[in-house]
Amino acid sequence: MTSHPIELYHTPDASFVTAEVVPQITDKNISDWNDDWLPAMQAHIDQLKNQGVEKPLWPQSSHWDWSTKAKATSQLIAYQQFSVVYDNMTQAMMLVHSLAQSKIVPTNGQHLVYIDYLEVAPWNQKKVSNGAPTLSGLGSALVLEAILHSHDEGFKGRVGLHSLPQSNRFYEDALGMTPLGPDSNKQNLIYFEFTEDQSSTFIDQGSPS
Amino acid sequence: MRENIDMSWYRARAMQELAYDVEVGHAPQLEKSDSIKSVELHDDYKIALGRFVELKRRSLKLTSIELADRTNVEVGEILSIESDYHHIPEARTLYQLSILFGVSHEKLMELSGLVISKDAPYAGDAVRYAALSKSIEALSEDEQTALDGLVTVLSEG
Repeated sequence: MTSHPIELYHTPDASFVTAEVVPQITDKNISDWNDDWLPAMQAHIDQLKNQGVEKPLWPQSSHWDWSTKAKATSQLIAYQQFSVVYDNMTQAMMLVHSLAQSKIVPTNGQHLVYIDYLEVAPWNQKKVSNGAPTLSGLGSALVLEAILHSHDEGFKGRVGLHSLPQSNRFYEDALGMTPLGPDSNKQNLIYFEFTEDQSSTFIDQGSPS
Repeated sequence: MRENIDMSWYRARAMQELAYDVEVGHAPQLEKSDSIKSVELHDDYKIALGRFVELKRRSLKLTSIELADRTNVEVGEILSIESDYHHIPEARTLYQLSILFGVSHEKLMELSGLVISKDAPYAGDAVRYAALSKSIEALSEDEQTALDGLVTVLSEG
């Protein structure tokens, strides 16, 4: 697995730019998260506090500790890390593993690639950036990596994930994954799964079937 | 398969994605803290717990079903502890495992996140030993070393 270029939409100048997907989370990525992501997220939360916004409405990913996640999983063969870099800055990170099983008949019980965490930088988050993310396309590009990783592992493109509430529409409407309802073992987050056919459709078409 | 994907694919998807948030993972545990860095410090401990249970089971040459039978817990609970570090095991399960494995029940409880310890210096060691191991069928020499280290730090005294 090697790094490779992708294209993202750069909102400020309405153009497409070339970024790089890297199959690991490096110390530089963690430095970017610590030095740039966290202050940007904290500034947004401070703004919400000043506006009297209740805590349940704060960004749902603001508590994630990528440093701990990256260190804890870097040597575990079942885990794979990804990052996306543009303009010498980490723009998104994803952690997947190959320990979970499909929950959809007839493949239920067969292994799939499970997206444990996927987060884009605060300035690329729609809600944090007041509807104007700097870069768009990071989620699709990383889900594609998960699908390709699933094929590499022999799981035929099967991918599962628990979406944060604000992202449910993306995985169901935009990507065409199957929602299997709230999961009481995962804080009642909705579990989504790409079947083999659905992930092929996602790759073959520019939009879901 | 990657060779079938050109830049037009990324462009189409990027335009479509403009209208959405995309985050995947765990929701905040709001009751714990206002700090955005302090909530998930126990993820790595839970990974260590899962690796320990898997390594110990394999060293005893037990299948997951056999371990479930020996400890009188659901096999799904065993599978979840080994494969899903977000899973919160039942206290009874950890008690049964501690007896079979000959390690401290309290330390397994702390690694699982069921009990919050103010000071668990062994936990960092457990995480390091767990990170040394990789998932293959038979225990390699390195995995046996990792397991021996885990047993040492998770034993009483």
